[in-house]
Amino acid sequence: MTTSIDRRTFIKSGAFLAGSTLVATQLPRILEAGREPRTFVPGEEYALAQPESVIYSACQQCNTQCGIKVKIEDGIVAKIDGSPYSPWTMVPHVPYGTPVVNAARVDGMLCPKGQAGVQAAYDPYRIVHVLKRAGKRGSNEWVSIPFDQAVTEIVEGGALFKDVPGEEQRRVEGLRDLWAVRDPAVLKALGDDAAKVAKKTMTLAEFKAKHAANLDMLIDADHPDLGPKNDQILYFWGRKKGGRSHFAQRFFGEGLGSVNRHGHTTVCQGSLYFSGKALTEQFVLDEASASMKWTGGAKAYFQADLEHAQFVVFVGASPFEGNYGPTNRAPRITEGLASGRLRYAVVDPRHSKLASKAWRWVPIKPGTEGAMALGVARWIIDEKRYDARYLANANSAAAKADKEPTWNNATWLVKIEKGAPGALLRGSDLGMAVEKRSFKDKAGKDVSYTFDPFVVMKGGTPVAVDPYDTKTAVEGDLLVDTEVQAIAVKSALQVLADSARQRTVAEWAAECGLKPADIADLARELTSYGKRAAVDIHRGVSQHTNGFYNASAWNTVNMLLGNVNHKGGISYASTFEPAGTKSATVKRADGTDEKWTQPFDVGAMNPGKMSPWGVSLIRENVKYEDTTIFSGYPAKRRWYPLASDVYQEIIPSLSNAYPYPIKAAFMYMGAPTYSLPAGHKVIEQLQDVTKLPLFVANDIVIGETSMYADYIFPDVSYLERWEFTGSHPNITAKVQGIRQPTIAPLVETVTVYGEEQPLTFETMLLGLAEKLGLPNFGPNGFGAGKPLRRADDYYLRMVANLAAGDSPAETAPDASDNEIRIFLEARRHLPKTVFDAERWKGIVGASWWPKVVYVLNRGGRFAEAEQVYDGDLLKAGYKNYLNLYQEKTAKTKDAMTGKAFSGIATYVPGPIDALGRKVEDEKSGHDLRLITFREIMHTKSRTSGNYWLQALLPENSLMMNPADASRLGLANGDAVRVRSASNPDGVWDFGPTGTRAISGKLRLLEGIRPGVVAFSLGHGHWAYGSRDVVVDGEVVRGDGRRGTGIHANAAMRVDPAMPDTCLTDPVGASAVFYDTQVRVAKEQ
Amino acid sequence: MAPTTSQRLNRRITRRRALGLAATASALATIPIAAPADAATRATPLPALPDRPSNVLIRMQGELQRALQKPIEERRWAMAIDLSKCIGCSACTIACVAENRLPPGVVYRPVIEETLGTYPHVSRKFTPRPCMQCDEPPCVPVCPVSATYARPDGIVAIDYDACIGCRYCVTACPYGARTADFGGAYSEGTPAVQPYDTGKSHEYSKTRERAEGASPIGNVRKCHFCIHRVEAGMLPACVTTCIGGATFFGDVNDHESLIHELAGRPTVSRLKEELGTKPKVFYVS
Amino acid sequence: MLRTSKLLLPLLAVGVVAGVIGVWDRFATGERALALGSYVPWGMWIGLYVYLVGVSGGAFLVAFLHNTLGIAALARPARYAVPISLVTLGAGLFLVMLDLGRVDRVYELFTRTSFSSVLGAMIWVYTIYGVVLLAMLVALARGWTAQLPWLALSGMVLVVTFGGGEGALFGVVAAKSVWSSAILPVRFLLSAAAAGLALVALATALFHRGPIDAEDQAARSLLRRGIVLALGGFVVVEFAELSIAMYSRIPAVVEAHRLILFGPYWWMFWVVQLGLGIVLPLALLWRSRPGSVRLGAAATAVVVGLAGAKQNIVLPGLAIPEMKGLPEAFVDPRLTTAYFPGSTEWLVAVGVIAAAALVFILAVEFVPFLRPAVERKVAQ
Ligand SMILES: Nc1nc2c(c(=O)[nH]1)N[C@H]1C(S)=C(S)[C@@H](COP(=O)(O)OP(=O)(O)OC[C@H]3O[C@@H](n4cnc5c(=O)[nH]c(N)nc54)[C@H](O)[C@@H]3O)O[C@H]1N2
Ligand SMILES: Nc1nc2c(c(=O)[nH]1)N[C@H]1C(S)=C(S)[C@@H](COP(=O)(O)OP(=O)(O)OC[C@H]3O[C@@H](n4cnc5c(=O)[nH]c(N)nc54)[C@H](O)[C@@H]3O)O[C@H]1N2
Ligand code: SF4
Ligand code: SF4
Ligand code: SF4
Ligand code: SF4
Ligand code: SF4
Ligand SMILES: [Mo]
Repeated sequence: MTTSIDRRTFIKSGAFLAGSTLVATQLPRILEAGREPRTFVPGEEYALAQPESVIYSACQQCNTQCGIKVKIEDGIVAKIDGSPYSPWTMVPHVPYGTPVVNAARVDGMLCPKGQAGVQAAYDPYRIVHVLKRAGKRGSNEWVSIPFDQAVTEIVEGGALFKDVPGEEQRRVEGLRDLWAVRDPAVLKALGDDAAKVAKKTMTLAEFKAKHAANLDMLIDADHPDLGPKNDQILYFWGRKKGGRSHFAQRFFGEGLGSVNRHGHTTVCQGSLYFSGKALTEQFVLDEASASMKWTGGAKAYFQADLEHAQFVVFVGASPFEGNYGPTNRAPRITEGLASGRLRYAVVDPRHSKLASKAWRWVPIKPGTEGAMALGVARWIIDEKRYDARYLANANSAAAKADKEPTWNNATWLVKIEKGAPGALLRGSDLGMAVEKRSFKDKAGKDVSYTFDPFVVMKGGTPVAVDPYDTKTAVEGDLLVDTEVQAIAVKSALQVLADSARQRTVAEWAAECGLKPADIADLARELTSYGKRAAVDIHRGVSQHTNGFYNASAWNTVNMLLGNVNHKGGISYASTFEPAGTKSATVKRADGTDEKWTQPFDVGAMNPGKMSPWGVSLIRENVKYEDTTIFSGYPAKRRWYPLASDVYQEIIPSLSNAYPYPIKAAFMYMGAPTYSLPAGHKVIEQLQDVTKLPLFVANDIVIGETSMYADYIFPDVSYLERWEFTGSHPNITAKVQGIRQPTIAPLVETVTVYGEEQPLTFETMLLGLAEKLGLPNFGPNGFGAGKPLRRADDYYLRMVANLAAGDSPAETAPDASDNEIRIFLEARRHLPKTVFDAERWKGIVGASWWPKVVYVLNRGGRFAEAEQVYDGDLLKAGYKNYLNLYQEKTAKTKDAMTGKAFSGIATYVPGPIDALGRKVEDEKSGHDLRLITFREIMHTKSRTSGNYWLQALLPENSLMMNPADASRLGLANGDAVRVRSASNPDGVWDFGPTGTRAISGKLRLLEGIRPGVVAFSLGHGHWAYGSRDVVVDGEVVRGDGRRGTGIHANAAMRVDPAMPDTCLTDPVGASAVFYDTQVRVAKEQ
Repeated sequence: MAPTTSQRLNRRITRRRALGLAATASALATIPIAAPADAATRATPLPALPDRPSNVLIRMQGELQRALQKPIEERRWAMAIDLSKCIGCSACTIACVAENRLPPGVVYRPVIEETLGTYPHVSRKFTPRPCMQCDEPPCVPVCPVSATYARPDGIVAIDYDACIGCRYCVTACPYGARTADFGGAYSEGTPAVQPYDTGKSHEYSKTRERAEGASPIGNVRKCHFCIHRVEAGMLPACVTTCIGGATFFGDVNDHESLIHELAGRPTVSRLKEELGTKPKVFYVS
Repeated sequence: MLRTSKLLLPLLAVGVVAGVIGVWDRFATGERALALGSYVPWGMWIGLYVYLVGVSGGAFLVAFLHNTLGIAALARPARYAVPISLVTLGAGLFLVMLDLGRVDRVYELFTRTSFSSVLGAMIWVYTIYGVVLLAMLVALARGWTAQLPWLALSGMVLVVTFGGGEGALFGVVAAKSVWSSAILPVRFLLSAAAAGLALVALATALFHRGPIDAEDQAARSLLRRGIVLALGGFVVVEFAELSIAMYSRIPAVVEAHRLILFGPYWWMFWVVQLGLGIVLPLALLWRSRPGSVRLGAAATAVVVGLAGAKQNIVLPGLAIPEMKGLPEAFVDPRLTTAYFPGSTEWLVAVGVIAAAALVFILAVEFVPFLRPAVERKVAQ
C-alpha cells in the first residue's frame, strides 16, 4: 500500500470541466485582473476583507436560499460566507443602508453545505458541452455535439438516433411540429369552447363544426378539453426559483403554449403546501364565471416565529439538520434556549439533533401524526384552553376590532347531511336575502353576480356573515350543535370537536404508540404561553398517505392557539416583487393622484403571449367529473383536484399515455429517479422511447436522471447564474434575495441571436426560441425594439423592479460613486458574456442603474430588522381569512373511490392505496417501518461531490434500534439489505448499466423508535460522477467516493392499485416516504 | 491509588531535570519570534462596523477591533464555546477547512459527537475542538527547531517555513489538535484538480500558493484562531459561521468584553484541565 | 570470503535495491508515500529508529567493556562492536530523516536546534556519538590504542545519555499516558543492552573464522551472560510496567495495553516480543557454552523480538485517540487510529537494514583492521 490516496491523475475529456478548460477560461482574466488598478493594499492586508473582492448572492446548496458573500481572489471563489445584509445569515441583520465598505469585514453564518459551495461550482464532473446519447437510454455512452446541432435536431426532429441499434427507423417529432397552435387567439377560442364542451354547455358536434379547421391541432378532437397538441410538450423541473421560473414559463407556456409545466412540490412536502392552500382558500368572485367560489388559496404554509416563540412543538421537522433551514432557524432556537425564552418538544421517531436539546422528545409511530394532533385538539377543546376570542371572529371587522390579523370560520355553521358535515350553511338556506353585486369586466361592462352569505349562530340566533366585511363585526357562538329551520347544523369548531372526540386522549396516544401524558403535557404547554406558542410541521407530517389530513390537523391546533401572524406565533413569507406587476397610487405635489408602477412588467411585455389550457398530464387542479373523459369510478389513474406539481405522476402518466401521450419532455434540475419513492420504476419507464420519444435534460453533471436523457444541455452552477430566491415562512422580514453571477461561467460559450453567451439554461431556451422563431424572444422579445436575446435582458429588468420596490416608499437609494466603483471592481474578473457594465446599464436605463447597483451590491432586498414587528404582530405576512372547515375540500371527490374528502381535520389510518384499501405489509413479515431524513451535510442528490462534506459523513447507514437488531440477530456495522413487498429482491435496476442491491451498513443507535429504521438522504449514487461514463469514445472514470452508502428509495412502497407509482396522499398528493414496511437482513 | 495525571506530569518534569535537559530547556525558551508585519497596532484605521449593537457578532467584532488598538502583548485572545447552544452542525469545521484551504487529512476544528442514554431517554452531546492555544502548551517545548512557538498575544503559532515536519508536536498535544499536511488534494483522482484545492491561502497573514514541495505541505498544521482574520479586524471563521451562535471570541484581557464575561461563568470548564495546559478555549454550558 | 558472507551479500543487495526503490518512492511521492496519519503520526520507521539507535548503544557496551574497563575476553567481539554501532546509528538516523515531512530542512536540526526539545538535544548527542565512533575507527586503523579507553568512555557516556533520552523522547509526552511512565527509560536501556549485545553475539557467531578457541568461549559466555541478564531485567521491568498499567485505571493506559495484549496485533506481543524476543532466547541460552548455531539463533531471536517490542511501544501510544470520537468527527484515511506500514515503509525499512548489514559485512571482509582474526595475527 503506497497510500490510500491516489496520485494525481488527469483524465482529459473534452466534455468535462477538465483542468485545461478551466485554465483556458480563467487564465486571461487572471492576467487581466492583475493589470487592473487595485485600490487596496495587497500583501499584508487580508485580500478577502476588501469590498472589491466580494459579490453578494444567494446559496442554493439547499433550498433555504441563504444570503451569501462570495469572496473572489484571482477570479476564483476563494471563500463563501454568510451575508450580513440577509436575515437568513445574521440575527439581527445589518441595516440595508450599511455601505458595502463597512460590511466587507463582517461575515454572517452559513451551514456546512453553504461553506462547501465552491465544491458544487468547481465540480470536476461538470459538463461543459451538449451531450447526445450514443447508445440506448441509460447506457451512459455519449458524444459531445455542437450547441447549434443540438438545437436544430430538437426543433426539426427526424431520425435523430439512427446510429443507435434498434432506433434506426425511429423518427422523432421536433418542437416545430409540436408547436401546433401558434396564434394566441385561436388557442383562446379553442380553449373557451372546449371548456363549454366539458361543462356540457356546448355539444361536441357544435364544437367540431365551429373549429373544423383547427381540429387537427387538438390532442383528441373527441375530447377537446384535453387540450391542444402543444400540451404534448412536457417541461418539468426539480429545484427552480424566481427568474428562471419566469423565463421558462415564457418559453414553454406563453411561447409554446403548453399547459404541462410541472414542478416537484409533491416529492418535497406537497400535502403541507396543499393543506396551506386549503386553509387559505378565499370565497371570492371568479370573473370568468361571474360567480363567487372558493379560490386563490396560496400554495404556502406557516412556520413558527422562532425569534419570539416561548413554546414550540416540532412535528416531523428538522430545523437543525434540514428544513428551511438550519442556518436561519438554528440561531433563533439556540438563542431562545440560552436565554430561557424558549422550550420545545420534538415529535419524531428519530432522535434528531433538534431533539437533543428538546424539553421532550416524543418518538411517535410514523403515520399517526394526525391522531396526535386530534388528541391535542381534543384536550384543548375539552379543557377549553383554545383562544375563544380569536376563534369567534367570523369576519374581517371582528378581527380588526380585536387587532387580529386573521379571522376564520370556526363559528360558521356547517350543514350535517346524513350525520356527516357537508356544505356550509348559507343565508339562502334560511331564507335570508341574497346580496346582488356587480363588477366591471375587462371590456368595462357591468356584470352582476350574487353573494349568498355564510351563517353563524349568535346567542341562538342565526346571523349572516360576509367574511370580508370590514364594517360590521360578526362574532359567533363557538360550539353549536343544533337545528335551524329543520336543518341540522354544527359550528365548524363543533365539527372539529366531534372529529377529535372520536377517541379519548388515551386512545389517540395509544394509536401513536405514546403515553397519554405525552399528549396532555404537550397540549398544556402549548396553551400556557398565549400566542407565543406554535406548532411547526414539515415532511414528517406531510409525506404520508394521510399527509394532508395530518397537516390540516396540526394547522388546526395552531388556529386553536390563535397565533397566526403573531409575534412568537406562526409566520408567513413575504417578498418584494421582481416581476414588475406592482403598482400604487401616489399623490402628486398638487394633491392629484398618479399611478405608479414598477419599471418593467416582464410578464406583460410578451408579444404573442399564449394562455395555455387543457387537462394537464398529471391531472392537477381539475376534477375528473368535470372532464369529457369521466367514465365512472375508479378512474384509470388518480386525479388531483386540490393539488398541483405532482412529481411522481409525471413519468408514469406519460408512460401510460393517460390522459394522452407526450411527445417531448424537457427536464430542468430534477432527479426523479433518485428523489422519488420507488424511483426505480421511473428508471424503467424512462427507457421506453415509444412512450417518451424525446427527452432533453438540463443539468450540470450527468445526473441520476439526466443519464437517461437523449440530450443533456450543460448549465451553470448557482455561483454563476441569476435567480430570485423568494422567501420562506419562517423569514419574518419582507425580502427578496438575488442570485447573480459571481465567477466566469465554466461552460462553453455559444452564439444565440448574434450574441455571445455562456451555455446556460436560459441560453438553451433562447437557442430553441431563435430556431423556432418564438415571438416573445429575440430582438423584439419584449415588444418592438426591446430585445430579449440573453439572460441579462431579462434579469436586469427584474432587479430594477426590486430596486423600485413594491411602492415608491420602498424604492432603493442610488449607489454612491464609490459603491459603483466597488461594484465594477468586484466584477473585473467577469467576461463580457456575463457582465458588461454598459450593456447592463443600457438594459435598465441610466436612472435605474445606480439603484440596480445598490441592490446588487447587497445581494437583494431585505427589509429592516426593526420593521418586522408591529407591537405583538408581524408587520408583513398573512392577514386574511382562514378555513378551519374546508368547504372546498369537502365538496371534492377522490377520482378512484368516488368518495368525498373530509373538510375537517381527521385521522385516516394509513397507509392506504389508490383505492383506499389499507396496505398491510406487516402481515407478510415486513416488520420494520422505513423512514428517511436529512443530515445537515447533504442535500438530496446534489452534494456527493462536495468532498469536504464527505469527510463529515463519508457513508450513510441504515439506522436501527438495538432492540430490533438483537431480535433479528444483527450487529452494528453489518452489511444489510432492505426489502419490501414491492421490491422483494431489494435491488435497484439501472437498465443498461446493471443492478445494485439496496444495501448498506447497519448502525445501531438508541435514538430511534424500535420498529423503525431510517436512512439519510444523499448517498447511494449511481451517477453524478460516481461511475464510469463514456464520452466521445473515451472512458471518464467515476469517483468511488461519490457513490458510497445506501439510498433506499427503491424499497419504498409501490401503490398496489397503481403499480408503477409510489404510494400517494389522495388529497394533498404527497409522494409517500414514510409508510413502507420493510424487512432487513444481513447481506449474504 | 493510581497517580493523577498532574502527579505524573510533575514526575516527568523531575525526570527531565534528572536527565540534565531542563536547564537548557529554560535557557532556550525565549527564542526570537518572527511576528507578522501586521501584528502590532494597526496603521490604517478599519472602516466603522455596521450599526447593530444588539448583534452579538458585531459586538464581539467591535471588542476585537478595540483590542487591536493595544500593543500585541496586552492582547489575550480566547474562545468560548457554549455547548448548550452547539447543535453539532460542523459548519465551523468546514468554514475552517475553506478559510484555511485545508487539504485532506488536515482538520483544525472537528466536532466530536457522543450519544448517551438508552431509548427513549437519549441525549447527544457535541464538542467542537479547536486548538486550545494553551498557556502552557506541551506542543511547544518538544519542537526540535522552535518552529512552533507562543506569540505574545498567546496564540500558539507554527512557522511553516521552519517546521521540519517531525510530528513530535503532534504526539505531544493532548487534544489531538495538530494534524500533518501530507500533501494531496480533495479533487485528486477526478478528471481535474480544482481551484479550491490549489487556490491561495492566507494563514498567518502570508499569501501562499499550494504547490508540490511548498509549505505547508510536509508541515504540521493547527488552528491559529484565524489570526490573519483577527488582525484584519475580523472574527475567526468558525465564530462567524456558527449557526448555533455557540462560539465566542475576544480578548480576555478586556474586562468589558463578552469573552471575559463568558470565561468567568460559573459553569465554565476547560478540556483536560488536570494536565495543567491552561487552555484558552472555555467551554460553557 | 566467508561462506556466510557469500550467502548473505546477494540477499542484502536485493534488500538494498528494494530500499532504493522505497527511498525513490518516498521522494517522488512525498510524505504521502507513508501510510501514517495524524492520529498515528509516527510509524514503523520511528519504531525502528529508536530500536536501531538503542542497538547501537547496546553494541557499544561491548567496546566500552573491553576498551575502557579492560575486559580482555571481549577483545574479539569489541572489534565488531564499533562498526555495528556505526551502521545501526546511521540506519536509525537515516530512517528518522526520511520520516520528516520536510527532509529538505533536516539541516535546521543543527542550525536552529531547540534544546528544550528532547529530539533537538538528541540530534547533537547522536552527532557527537557518531564522531566518537568515527574517531574510534581511526584509532583502530592507526593502532592508537592509547586513545581507545577514553574514547570508549566518552562514547559510553553519550550512549547512556541518549539511551535514557530515547525513553524521555516518549516519556515527556504527557499527552500519551501510556508513554508517560518513569519506567520507560529504564526499559529502553535494558532492551537496548540486550539487543546490542545480541547483535554483537550474532556477528561473532556468524563471522567467526577458524576453530573456536578458549578466548572465543570466554567471550561467548560473557556475551551470553550479558544477554540473559539484560533480558531478565527487561522481563522484570516489562512485568512491572504491565501490571502498573493494568491497575492504573487510566482508561487510555488500560486501553493501550489491552490493545497490545489483545488487539489486532496481539501476536506482536505474544509471539514476537515475548516468544521470540524473550522466551526462546532464554531457553536457548539457559545452558552455558552455547555453540555457534545456538548462540546465533538466540541472538537473532533477541534482535528480531525486541525490534517488535519497540513497535509495541510507539504504536499503541498513538492508537488511542486523544479524545474519544475524534476519528469519526472528520473522516479521512489519515485521521484514523488504524495503522499498518505501507509498501514504501516496508521497502525502506528492509533496505536500510540490508544496507547496514551490507556495509558491516563488507567492512569485516575487506577492512583488515576490523577483523578480529587479523587483529589476533597482528597481536602475535
Ligand atoms: N430518501 C429521500 N428522498 C428524498 C427526500 C428525503 O427526505 N429522503 N426528500 C425529497 C425532497 S424534500 C425533495 S425537494 C426532492 C428533490 O428532488 P429533485 O428536485 O428531483 O432533485 P435534486 O436532488 O434537488 O437535484 C436534481 C438534479 O439537478 C441537477 N442539478 C444540480 N445542480 C444543478 C444546476 O445548477 N442546474 C441544473 N440545471 N441542474 C442541476 C442534478 O443532476 C441533480 O441530480 O428529493 C426528495 N427525495
Ligand atoms: N441538509 C439539508 N437541508 C435541507 C435539504 C437537504 O436536502 N439537506 N432540503 C431542503 C428541502 S427541499 C426540504 S423539503 C426541507 C425538509 O425539511 P424537513 O422536513 O424538516 O426535514 P426531513 O429531514 O426531511 O424530515 C424532518 C423530520 O421528520 C422525521 N420523520 C421521518 N419520518 C417521520 C414520521 O413518520 N413522522 C414524524 N413525525 N417524523 C418523521 C425525520 O426523522 C426528520 O427529523 O429541508 C431543506 N433543507
Ligand atoms: S441552509 Fe446551508 S445549504 Fe441551505 S441555503 Fe443556507 S447555507 Fe446554503
Ligand atoms: S491544544 Fe495542542 S496544539 Fe494547541 S496549544 Fe495546546 S498543546 Fe499545542
Ligand atoms: S512538526 Fe514542525 S512544529 Fe511540530 S515539532 Fe516538528 S518541527 Fe516543530
Ligand atoms: S479559529 Fe480559525 S483556524 Fe481556528 S478553528 Fe476556528 S476557523 Fe479554524
Ligand atoms: S458551527 Fe457552532 S453550532 Fe455548529 S458545530 Fe460548530 S460550534 Fe456547534
Ligand atoms: Mo424538498
